[in-house]
Amino acid sequence: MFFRRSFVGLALLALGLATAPAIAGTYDLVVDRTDVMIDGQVRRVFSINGEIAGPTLRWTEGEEVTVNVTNRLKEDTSIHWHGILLPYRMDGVPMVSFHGIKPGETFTYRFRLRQAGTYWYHSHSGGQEQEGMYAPIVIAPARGEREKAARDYVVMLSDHHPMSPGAILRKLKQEPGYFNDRKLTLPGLMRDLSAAKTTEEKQAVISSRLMWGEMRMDPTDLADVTGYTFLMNGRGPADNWTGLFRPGEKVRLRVINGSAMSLFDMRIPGLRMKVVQADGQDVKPVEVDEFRIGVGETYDIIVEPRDDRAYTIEAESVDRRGFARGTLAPREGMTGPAPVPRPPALLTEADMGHGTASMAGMDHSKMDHSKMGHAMPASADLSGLVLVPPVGAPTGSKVLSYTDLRRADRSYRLRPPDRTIDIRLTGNMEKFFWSFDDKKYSEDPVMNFTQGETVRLVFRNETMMNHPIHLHGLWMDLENGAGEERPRKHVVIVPPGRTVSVTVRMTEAGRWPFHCHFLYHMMTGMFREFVVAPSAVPMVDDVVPADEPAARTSRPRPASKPATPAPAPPPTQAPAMGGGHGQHHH
Amino acid sequence: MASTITRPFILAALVLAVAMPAQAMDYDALNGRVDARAEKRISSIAPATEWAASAWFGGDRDKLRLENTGIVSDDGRIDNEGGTKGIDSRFFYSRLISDFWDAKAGVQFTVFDAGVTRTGFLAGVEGLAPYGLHVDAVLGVSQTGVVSARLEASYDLLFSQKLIGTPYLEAMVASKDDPAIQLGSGLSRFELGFRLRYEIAKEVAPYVGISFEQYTGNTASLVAAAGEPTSLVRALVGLKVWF
Repeated sequence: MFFRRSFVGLALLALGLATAPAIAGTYDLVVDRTDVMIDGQVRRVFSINGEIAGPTLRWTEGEEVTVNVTNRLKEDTSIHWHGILLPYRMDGVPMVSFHGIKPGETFTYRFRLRQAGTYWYHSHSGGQEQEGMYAPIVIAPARGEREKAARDYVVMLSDHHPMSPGAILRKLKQEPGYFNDRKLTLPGLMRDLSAAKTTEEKQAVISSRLMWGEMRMDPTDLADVTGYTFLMNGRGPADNWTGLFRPGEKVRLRVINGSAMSLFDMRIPGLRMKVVQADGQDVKPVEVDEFRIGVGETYDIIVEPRDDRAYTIEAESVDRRGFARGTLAPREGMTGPAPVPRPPALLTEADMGHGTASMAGMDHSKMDHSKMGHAMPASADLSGLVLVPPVGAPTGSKVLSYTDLRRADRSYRLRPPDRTIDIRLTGNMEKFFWSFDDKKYSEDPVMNFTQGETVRLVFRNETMMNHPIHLHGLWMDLENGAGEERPRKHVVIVPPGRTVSVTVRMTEAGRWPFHCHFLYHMMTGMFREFVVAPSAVPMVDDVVPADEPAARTSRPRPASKPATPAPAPPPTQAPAMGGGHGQHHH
Repeated sequence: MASTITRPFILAALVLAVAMPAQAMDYDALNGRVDARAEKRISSIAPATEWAASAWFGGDRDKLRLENTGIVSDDGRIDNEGGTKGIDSRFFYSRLISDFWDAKAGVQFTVFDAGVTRTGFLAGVEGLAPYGLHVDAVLGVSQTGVVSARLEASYDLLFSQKLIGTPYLEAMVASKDDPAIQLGSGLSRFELGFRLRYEIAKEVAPYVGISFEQYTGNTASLVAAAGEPTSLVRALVGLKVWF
């Protein structure tokens, strides 16, 4: 670590002079099958450096990283750097960016870090991500964090399943409702009818049943796969991952959802959470009691526990089948109050896009959602931006919405779109396959773009599932009504029946995967390649000049980026940081 | 500028890359499912054993379907059931035509009592109608020139997540008589029944049930002439599995 720090110092100097990066680091990762303990049970997983989650890669903005990934599995593997800007050949998606890493082979990734923040890395081969191949990335800003904290922890959420991804996918193809153990029943109907007090209520119960029946769908179908154990930093709820603090300290939690199929509602009862970063990008701090995190998203929060007691970190799956659980405590071995499960949520008519015309016609960008509050019933908001208030959230509690996110970094310019593309999110629940515009990846693999253009993408979710939509290598500037302050993200949740739009500046030529980050949605066809062709015209860069008042920047961004991997200099740093990290964990 | 020099290479790489087969993220090719049930049909006048097996192999849109059903009476004879049953094998190619429906076309080979056989061509649809009604409707034409239509419909009624009742209907109509197999023109036969299964696992479910079977029109006359009952109520006990 001593070597590292001195290099960081050099880097700061170097960046100030706008010269080539002066720091470089080499990291070694080994992928293998390993037995780990989860809640007292031995589980065979695919590990990175012997553990799940894999080792946290702590990098520095501007660093030239070299990562050697050795495959000790009996099958091909890969590592994808989620949210990282890099040459597409380094993106780590088999058959798109490279040919994968064969058994016994070592693949070397090289790229220079042009960003800071919390990200993660994971396998992009088959279902290996669910088998345990995920881990955090923390990139320190070259000029220090905007929001200072005494403690800094990664909180990586994931879901572990006793069945292999292949077996799960087979069952889903054979019997799409296989994992739903909450289907509507006849006794349930009787209960609802006897609970209904008036004739109108009874009629509503009947007509709701008829509506779902007519559509051949089930309002309890919130999760395609159940039976997961939810993990926090690779530990089960009973293992109780613990982060230590001294009362009064500021604690930064870097929350990453690295699960295969699970959205979480995250809260720490007794503490307000100040959201300071989303998807690696600093946002204007916003205080919340609770936030929803989609697969692939990250949120950095700062909490200030004042009491000398244990606080429970609760991440409840949105289908209310379980928690990832951990503790913030002044000392090891303490536990906070056990999380109380909320009642199971149901899909509503609005989730099917059956909202009233008057609501759908409203201009949500002009509405002040923060003032409207979250007492608003779930079905009333059709914008897709106000996240559905989680069922059972205490009244008066503030739940983060996409409309609350405002970028803190004003060093880049947002451009008006040159064109608009509608992308419908589609699928077939009965045969279990998912698609864009009714076409699976194998049926329509590519969408074409030109480097330098700005494209508005309008996601219309025609399904009854949430879809965390992820774009590799390019930022999505979320149209959340915040105008010039709208945030940039690499994953955007599009709730059922809703429409959400983003603009994307095609900054980098290459083949960029665009997909739903639900593992089994991606694996069954909800995937495209954005092929960004190099432009003959030099790209106008996005950097706001430092003398402009808008540029309240602490981070100069590189101008036009080279489209090919820059020839990487040989590692200048003898001790391999990643290797050392790996040994530490063995 | 370096980027000007490298640009043609990138373009070439992109074109080459796009030409590569896209197999990473769409695992469609090899799926399949086999369903089977076997049941005793308990009755003082016509006890029998019935089975029904079906399988599909293929992708999301295109599938090969195989079906085999049969009924054998306890005295060891194949039960023609008025020319509507026997031991029947069907082979279909099917294609997804809408969210909930597959169209299918194929061939049929049926062995009836006393070694009489029939072959024919089939075409139809199967899928999920509104309100969750499972429907299998098939038109057929046999070697004897009989055009027939067969309808099977069933509905899963959940008493709990594991205890599931299934009312069902089977019916067949034929264009003309085929006396060798006791098939008569018009509505030949219909069966209404109810099976109640308990899913020990999703894939394994023992069940009990009851059936009401009625032969009609010319078929009833032909069945009566063969000395068989034309109306039956039977109790059903069986096992349903899939994998």
